[in-house]
Amino acid sequence: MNDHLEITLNGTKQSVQNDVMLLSHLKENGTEPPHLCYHESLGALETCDACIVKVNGEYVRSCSTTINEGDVVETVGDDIHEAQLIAMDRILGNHELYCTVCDFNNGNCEIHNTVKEMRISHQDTPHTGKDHEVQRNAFYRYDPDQCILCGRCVEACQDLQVNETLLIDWTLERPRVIWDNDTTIDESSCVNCGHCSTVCPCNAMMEVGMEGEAGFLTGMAEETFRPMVDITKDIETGYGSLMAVSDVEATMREERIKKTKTVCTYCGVGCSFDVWTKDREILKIEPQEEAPANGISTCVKGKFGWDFVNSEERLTKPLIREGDEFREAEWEEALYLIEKKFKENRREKGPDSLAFISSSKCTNEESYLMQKLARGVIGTNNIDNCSRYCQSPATMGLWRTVGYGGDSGGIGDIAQADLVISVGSNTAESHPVLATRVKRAQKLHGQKVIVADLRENELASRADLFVRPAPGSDLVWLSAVTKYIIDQGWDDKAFLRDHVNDVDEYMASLEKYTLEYASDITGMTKEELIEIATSIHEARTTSILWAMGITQHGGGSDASTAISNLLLVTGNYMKPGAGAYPLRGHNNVQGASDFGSMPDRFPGYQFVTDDDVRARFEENWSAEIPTEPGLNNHEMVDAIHEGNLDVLYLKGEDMGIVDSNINYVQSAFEKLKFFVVQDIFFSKTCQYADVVLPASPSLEKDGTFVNTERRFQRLYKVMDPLGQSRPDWEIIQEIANRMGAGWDYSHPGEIMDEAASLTPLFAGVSYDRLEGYDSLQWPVAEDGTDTPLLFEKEFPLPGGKAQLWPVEWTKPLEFEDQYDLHVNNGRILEHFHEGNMTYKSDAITGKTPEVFLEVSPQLAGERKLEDGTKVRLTSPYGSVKVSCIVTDRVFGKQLYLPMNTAGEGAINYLTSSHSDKDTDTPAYKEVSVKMEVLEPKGKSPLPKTNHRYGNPQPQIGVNVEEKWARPDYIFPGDIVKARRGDK
Amino acid sequence: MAKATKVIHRMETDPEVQHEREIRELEQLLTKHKEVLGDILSIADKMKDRDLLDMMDSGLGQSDRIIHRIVTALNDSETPQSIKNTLLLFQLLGTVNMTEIEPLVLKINTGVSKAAEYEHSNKKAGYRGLLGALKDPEVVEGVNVLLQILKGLGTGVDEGENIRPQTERVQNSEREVDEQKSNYEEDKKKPYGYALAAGAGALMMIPLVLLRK
Repeated sequence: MNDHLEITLNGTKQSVQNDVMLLSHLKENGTEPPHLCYHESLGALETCDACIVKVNGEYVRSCSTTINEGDVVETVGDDIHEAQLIAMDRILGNHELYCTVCDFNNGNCEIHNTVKEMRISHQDTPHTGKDHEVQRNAFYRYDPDQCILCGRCVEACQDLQVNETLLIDWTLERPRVIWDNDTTIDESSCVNCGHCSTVCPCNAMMEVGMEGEAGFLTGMAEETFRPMVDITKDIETGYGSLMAVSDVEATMREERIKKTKTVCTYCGVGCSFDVWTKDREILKIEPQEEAPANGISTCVKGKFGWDFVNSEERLTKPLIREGDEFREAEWEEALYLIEKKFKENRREKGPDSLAFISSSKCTNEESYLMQKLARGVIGTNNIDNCSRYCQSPATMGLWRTVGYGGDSGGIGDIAQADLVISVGSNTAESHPVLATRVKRAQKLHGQKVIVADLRENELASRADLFVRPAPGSDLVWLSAVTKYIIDQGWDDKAFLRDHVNDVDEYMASLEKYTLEYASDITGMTKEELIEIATSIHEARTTSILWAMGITQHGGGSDASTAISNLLLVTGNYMKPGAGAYPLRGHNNVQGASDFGSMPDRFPGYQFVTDDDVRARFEENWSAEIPTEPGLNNHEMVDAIHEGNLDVLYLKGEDMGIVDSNINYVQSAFEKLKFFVVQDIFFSKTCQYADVVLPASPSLEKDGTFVNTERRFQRLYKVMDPLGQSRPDWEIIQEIANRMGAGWDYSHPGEIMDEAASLTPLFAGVSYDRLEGYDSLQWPVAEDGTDTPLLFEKEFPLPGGKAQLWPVEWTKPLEFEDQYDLHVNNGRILEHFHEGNMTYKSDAITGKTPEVFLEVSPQLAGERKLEDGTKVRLTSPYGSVKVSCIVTDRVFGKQLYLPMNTAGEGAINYLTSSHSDKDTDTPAYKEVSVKMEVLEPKGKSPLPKTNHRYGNPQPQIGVNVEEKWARPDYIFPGDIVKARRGDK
Repeated sequence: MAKATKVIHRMETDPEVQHEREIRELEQLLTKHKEVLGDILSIADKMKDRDLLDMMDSGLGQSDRIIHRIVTALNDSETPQSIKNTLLLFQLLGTVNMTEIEPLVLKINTGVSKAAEYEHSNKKAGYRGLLGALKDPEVVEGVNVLLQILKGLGTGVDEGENIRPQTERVQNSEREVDEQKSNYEEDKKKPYGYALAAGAGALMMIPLVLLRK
């Protein structure tokens, strides 16, 4: 097929790319017609009619018109202008222009700009209200009287976020946007992801943080607002003067409102966006199309979960323990104490009596400095980070088989896969924006989705096939599917021959994984297993996503290995749309390890035991570095109990609540001789500290994060640190220098330069190459070439070949019969982990005030449980008290206890110290309990205003056909045609 | 052995020390901005003399109520119409080309002077006299100027109008055609299309000029 077509545009012949829509071509060409409903990220919605042009003499909407060979296109002409004016006039009948007193008047109001551009001075159809009050909740509000019914919000909700809450009810006399079955926002299925307010071209759908705050004249009392608008309208002599005044006011706002690019500090998707602030006040989060991971998408936490930054509970001064109490202190005193204790202990018991724990919430530069402090200044390899609690097994599985512990491609690859298999991942809640790409691809582009999980989470409920293997049995079914594929001759023989080692040995190891065996162990049917195998066989590309349901088991690394084996056997590496996707949980859990916060590896996964590597670091740091790997988190806790570890310096990690078997961890903390905790809040872990240092969150510093796609992104300082809090990198530098390091970093960019100079994996990373929304996916060569697709020509293993790695199933922990209920656990959408940050948002807390226990209707029937029943769960390691909700998301005797509390319902009072045999990652998912009812009746822990009680209304797009079918609708082109015909 | 504790004693800063520190900070600030402060204080003095500071103080204290009163009063009166007219007049003035209009005004002034000098006599005014006057080059020039003005009157100027509603523009859109064809793309680049044809502007000025007498 020809790549280009020949058309005539306004009398000039030109060549056009074959597959672009007319509007896109006109935009590129500088002949862009006006348009209001079209949005680059949403495509053509065909609701506004403003983009009418003429093609071969017919009036068409250019947004939805494809280009054909020889088309004669006209964009200029009185009749075309007339048709566009009719469309705009209808829009202005729905939207009142009171720009100067409008909070949306920030230079980006598309209605304002279009009216100005078209030089419209007045409107024919007078503006009238839609006879419905403003809809609002604590996150955003909808003013129907300002809504132009472009349907962008509906499209974003239906087909981008795919929450399917918003519709336009075209059957109403005055159509407007409705939630579910025309209920309130709070009673609907809305998850407050903010897509609607992000894409709204005007002030109809707007973040409440903007209300009365953005403009100089917008904060006026409500009773003054209406007369003010009336005066504005009365005195206007055409929109020209109105536009001029409001443009001046908008320009003034630029002086006051700061717009800073940042990267979200919640999950590992790595959403980036602009933060709008007025001094310390956060007005809104404004996503940008150019954001590489998320585009215009956000979840509720990224869009609205930033109140913690200005929380009164922030630590603003160092704290020093005196007996069983803390007192506030000056930095000098706290740092002096740290210096004294560190030196004392190192002198008396050697450097290995100290240990360091870095944070997956902090920046790469801070992780780099933490491990440099441990290794290069103190002289110990006792450094780890929280990926030990979650991701290490996935990384191990990938190191074994393909050599790099990272996602095979980007989020775009997941979106374009023919088949997505999600195993042990509550993706829609844990990685909400990434999940939207899967939901959209499935809904609009026929992507097949298979979900294996205990619980019918959102993605499971949408899946083409949802299977529920027995807890901890995934390795078995994955291996059985792999064997079945090989038995059928469906393995990718050419790929195995060219790119994989140890094939025969691996094939032989599969012998026992028959369908019968797998069915016995997992409880899945043979048909389900065959369907999965067949789906992989039929798909051109398969991407497998997994998370903690796989890794947090005794055999977590092996199960991760089994996933990679399956992908290798089917040739699902080395091509776009395919590969392994361990979904990283924290914003920088990837980067914390990438930058060497691991006991056995330097930055870039270089071994500390490698003499050449060590020599390179020693030379650069002018230090002697120990040759043996240090302790990981898990081993540190044991070492404290054994009396071998006395001093711990921990930053940005609530280890006292998130580690498993916390009774054991907390008692270890009590035994420490000296414990330094650095955090933004007084966390559970802080309660055990000797010195607490106040740190600054992401908005108060510069730095970089690496997301789940291996993508480096820069965050810029939005505001100064609160009180006396300081960025972690500054604090670490201060401590290091007191220990004699002589560091002199004045900006994190310098730290990155040093790290890159020592690390081949990302040698080409620099702040210059990460300006604004620019990003790089590792490996990054010295010349700045990055690697969106991780494996292109070979694998970083001997011979450039991947390796099939035989694995054995590790049976999950067995419990006595009295512990008859299995406790699944994990995240929920609206709170991040134990909620240190998200509970600071009144809006989020209002919707989800506390932790809850999901019980199945069957169990509820048996044990007489109902919403609000308070129970005690007891495992051999501890107990929790929590209130129930009854839901069919869980089945039979399986419970789900989210981790969103640091109180008496915290899951880790139940978990054990049992861990993955290869990485020591706690087996959080292997918990069984007994249940006692404490209070049969009580208030439901989940208010009815929670989105889980909503009633979504799926449809494709905005249903513009219903609009066109209305008797009061005539296509503007037809009106013009009739007028011209009558002439 | 460090037992978990939530007890935190806030640092109690000695008020005197705190006061000293703040005074020091203030002192530094004052020294740094010495000149500007001098100027500002001088202005403030004058404002104080004229009770402006008191007014502002009271005004700001009651700003919400005052704005509401003003806005309500404005909305109920003829004021919006006055503001509208003022704005319109202001916009019209912007369209007048003074360079072109100056000779015209001089001509009209001369005409007015001549008319004033003209004395009504009983002398018969005949066709012959008028025809004779056509020989006068000044008369011919005057007629030509008037003809140009008439021509200007006939030119379409709807595009630049600020008062006529959109309704009319859409319903009689063909009237916009000629002008748009040539000007649409070009005009789009201008911030606001207030350009009225020069002829029309000149005409609007005629009554004003005549009133000067």
